[in-house]
Amino acid sequence: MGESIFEANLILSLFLFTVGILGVMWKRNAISLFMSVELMLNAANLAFVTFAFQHGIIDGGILVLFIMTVAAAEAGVGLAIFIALFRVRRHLRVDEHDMLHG
Amino acid sequence: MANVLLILPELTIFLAAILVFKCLILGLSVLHVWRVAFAGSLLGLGACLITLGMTGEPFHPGIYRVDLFSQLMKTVIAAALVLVLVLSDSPPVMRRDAWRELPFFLLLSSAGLMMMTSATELITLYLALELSAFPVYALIVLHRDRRMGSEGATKYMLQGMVASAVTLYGMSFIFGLSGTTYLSEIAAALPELGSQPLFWVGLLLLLAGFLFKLALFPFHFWAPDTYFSSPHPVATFIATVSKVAAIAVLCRMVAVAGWNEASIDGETLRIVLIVLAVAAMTLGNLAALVQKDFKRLLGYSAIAHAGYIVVALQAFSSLGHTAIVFYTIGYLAMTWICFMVACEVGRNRDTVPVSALAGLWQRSPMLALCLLIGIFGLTGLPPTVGFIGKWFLFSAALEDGQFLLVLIAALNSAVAVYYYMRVLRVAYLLEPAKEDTGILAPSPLVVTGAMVACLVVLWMGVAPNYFWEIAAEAIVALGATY
Amino acid sequence: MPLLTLIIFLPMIAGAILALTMPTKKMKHAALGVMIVDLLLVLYAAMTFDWSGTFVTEARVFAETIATTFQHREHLPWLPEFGISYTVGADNLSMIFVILTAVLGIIGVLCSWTSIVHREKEFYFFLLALQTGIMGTFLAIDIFLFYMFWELMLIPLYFMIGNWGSKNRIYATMKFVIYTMAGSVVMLVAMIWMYYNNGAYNPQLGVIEYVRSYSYEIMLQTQSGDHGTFQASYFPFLALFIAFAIKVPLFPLHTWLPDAHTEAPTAGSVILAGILLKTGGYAIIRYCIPLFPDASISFAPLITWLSVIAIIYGAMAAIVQTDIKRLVAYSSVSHMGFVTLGIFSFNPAAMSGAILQMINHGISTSGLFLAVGMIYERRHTREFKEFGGLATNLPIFAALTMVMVLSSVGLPGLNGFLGEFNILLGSMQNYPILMQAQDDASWAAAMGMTQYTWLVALGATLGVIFGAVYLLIMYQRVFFGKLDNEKNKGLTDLVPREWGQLAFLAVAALAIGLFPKPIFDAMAPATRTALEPVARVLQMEVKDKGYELAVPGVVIENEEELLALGE
Repeated sequence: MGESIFEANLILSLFLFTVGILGVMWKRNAISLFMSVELMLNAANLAFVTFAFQHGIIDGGILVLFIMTVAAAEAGVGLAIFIALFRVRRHLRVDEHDMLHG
Repeated sequence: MANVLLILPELTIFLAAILVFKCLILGLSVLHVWRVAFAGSLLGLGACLITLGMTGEPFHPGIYRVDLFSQLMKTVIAAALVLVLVLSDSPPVMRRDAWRELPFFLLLSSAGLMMMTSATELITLYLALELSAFPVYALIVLHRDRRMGSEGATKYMLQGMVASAVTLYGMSFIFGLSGTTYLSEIAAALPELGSQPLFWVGLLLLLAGFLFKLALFPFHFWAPDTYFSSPHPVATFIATVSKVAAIAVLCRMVAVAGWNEASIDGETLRIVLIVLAVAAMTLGNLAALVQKDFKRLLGYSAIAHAGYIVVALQAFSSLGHTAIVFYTIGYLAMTWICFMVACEVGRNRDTVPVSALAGLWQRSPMLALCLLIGIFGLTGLPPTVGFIGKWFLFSAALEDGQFLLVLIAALNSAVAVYYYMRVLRVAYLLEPAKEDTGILAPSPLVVTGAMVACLVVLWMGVAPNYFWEIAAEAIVALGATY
Repeated sequence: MPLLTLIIFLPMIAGAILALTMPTKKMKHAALGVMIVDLLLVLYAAMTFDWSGTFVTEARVFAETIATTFQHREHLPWLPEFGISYTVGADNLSMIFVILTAVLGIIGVLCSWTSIVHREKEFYFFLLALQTGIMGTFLAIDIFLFYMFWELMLIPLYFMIGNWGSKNRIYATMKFVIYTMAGSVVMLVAMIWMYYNNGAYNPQLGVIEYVRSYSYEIMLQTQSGDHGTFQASYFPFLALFIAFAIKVPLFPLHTWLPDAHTEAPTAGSVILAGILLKTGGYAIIRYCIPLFPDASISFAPLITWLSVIAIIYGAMAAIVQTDIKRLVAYSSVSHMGFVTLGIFSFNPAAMSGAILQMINHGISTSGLFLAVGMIYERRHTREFKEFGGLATNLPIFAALTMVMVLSSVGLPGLNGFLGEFNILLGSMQNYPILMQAQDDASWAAAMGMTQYTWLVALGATLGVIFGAVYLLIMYQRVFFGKLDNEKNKGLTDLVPREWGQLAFLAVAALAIGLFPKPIFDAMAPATRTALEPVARVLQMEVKDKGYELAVPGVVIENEEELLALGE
């Protein structure tokens, strides 16, 4: 692979991360927020894999495996919490937390 | 065998967690589960004390480092865990069916936090961070008031996930530039890395996850809400134990980035930290002025204290780090005392408004005295550790010539007097409200814990030499590594 | 024997033990006993004290050996890494205030005898703890230690006013605490700043040699040099001065005082007026002036003006009060204005006048607060309109209060006169003498207000006159006239415990007024120590401009004149 692939990958990763951050800032639905965070994680994954190839060491790839596992666990805990939230409120809009006014 | 001894504290806590899990499966009663967990945490504390003087690397070189710094922080974590468990022995405001699971999650999270203090490799660090975070997410949702619990958990978890994603992205920068995930190799490559702005950007992003745990601006939004909406012992855990680990990692990272590094980009990192510290102190203190809920007030005060800690952190000096370690120990004791009072007063309440403290001196002189010591500590009045600790923090920043920053910090702590004194005013000068005139009788265990914590606050305030020397030695051990 | 340590900590430790062991009814007796023992210790210390001002000895500060003028000195390394030590010692200045504190401590217990009825144990414990804080503030000669005691004074007073004060007490305590804390945190920064910038210029090497220590003795040797910069002198001076000025209190930082005084229980008011305000004046003389002579000179015009405003404003505000206690509180603002005016005149007469004025204020204002407390205990009101003609049925009370009022007014023959007269004399004398050396326009401009000396003197004199007006009007309204209020007819005169306190203060006022020489003798070394650095800087500056001081050495060497005044 040539240099240009690395650069393209990194730019894509930056793009994904930006989309994720903007999503976190603008979205108000818990699931959308969650998806935005996943985008950010994937941006990090892409960057790690790219750098791992660039340096020819495997550590980045290993880290990606861990991140994916953790993200899966995160989805497990997160969705469970969202279901609990949905049960008491019947919606998932996070800007309408009426008990927490901080 | 020697390696097992080195990781004895984590191992003990981890095994205790598994044992507690087994007890849960066997369907043992709340009290039994709690006893097992408490014994486990005490053993963990003992293991920490045993390993306090040890140095070594139990695993593959460079991944995990056991030295005086990490062991000191682990001891503090274990001690704080014991204190938090002390508060969880009688029914906290959690769902009836769930509160026997509390010790399990606390132990698991503590094991993760202990790993954080020793991790010297990015993958390990990340895993430890997540291991410490997940159990807490689960705990908040178990609040007796389902609505409050799930809302609080959602908020905390989403923000925590964003912070750890940012941390990961920062890690990818550092990995990309240095080609390694080992902190020691990064430190070795620092002379060339230090000249690249991207490295400092990466480091700052990396710190995000830990600044989040510390509740520093702009990752502070969760603190008041989470303290408010968590069951009281869980809030205590978040406010004390997890802070220690975050501070440990911040110290290690800054030590890696180099003390007194004169590179221009390092200066940029410093300026960012200064701005964040000023914002955190000012915002935390001003917002705390208008709070009506005691735990929420403590949340904002935690944001302000995160700012004070960063005031010393930005000095990038061993004096600053020693001051931070010293202050952390004291801060933990002071915060625990305040939360202990919140737990005792809030036994039958979902929330603890400041007005619930009214007439505390009549309802329980012991609790009132504890609150006095804790609040004096947070305010920074002598002869508590809050005063001398702040003196050290400010000294570290002034040694470095950060005159304006320290002045802002000092003015902030003057603003803080108002809301801290308001708490004391309610507790000492007002009569109790009609509905809660009952005498509060904390359990003997809580009284013992409170006495120990008060003693620490006063002892460190009057004779700080011993603690200061330990902290200084720990920082020397930390500095020697990189 | 660690005499000073005993004097400092005996009240608090004994208070804690007594509060835990004594039955509630006996607590006040025990507290009185502790205060008396403390006074005896202080008197012993005063008797074994060398008042001549020639005392110099070798003493150790950590590893160094230095010459010190402090007596009964105790030194214990506390945090050697940071240059922090537990060092206490007394010189003439602190000894005077320590005696005052010990005496007023006893009066503080006596005046609470019957007026404090609930939570007695805690009250007397706080009173004793406050005594420890104040003694420590006067005796500490390590600035870190000084700061600790300074903060320690705040806590007991917070609880005393908050728990045993009158109805608006909570507002008053909050205001008091926030004002004081705002001052002291800035002081904290300044002290750390001083620690890092504490050094003397070495002309041989051309560099500043830094000495890192919180020891006042070391700072005195290194810092009183030639630092005319923001960094080394203006900032720390201002920060310390603001903290002290809040305690004094100097206009415009005085607004906490009337509230705190009015709401405090009598003992609180007595200690607050009698001693606590003095810690501010004491600290200015002890720390601000000798450590930062340059900055002191630069800010002197501003502070002088503020003092004059305080004198007039305090008096005017006192005239319009309807509450007797508030009136006395505002008179404190006015009287303490004289203190800062005297200190910043940099003149031995004015400086000793300022110290004397602090002692006088401690005697006369405490006496007035005692009197107000005694009225309040009988009638549970302090409004003027409720009183009149009390002299008919309370003759002893009226007579003793008269002495206090006259002492506060400044009647010749009583103590108040000497203090105010010396301050006025000194402040008028100082500037004209310097003027003769000041053809140089910029030098005159640097001294700012020199042309307006007569205005300062006029303002201060007006303050004296106003003082007579409001105090005498108050006395006349309360004690003279017809005894027409039914409720006042059944009042009983003072019991021995009560008139004993007032009579003691009256005798003290009379004694100082008639035989001032011993006290002027005792103050002279303190005055000289405080003014020496300023005089050195002034002389140097004048010399730099090519002039000689018009009367050479006037600033430090006219003690004969001063003593002549005293006699």
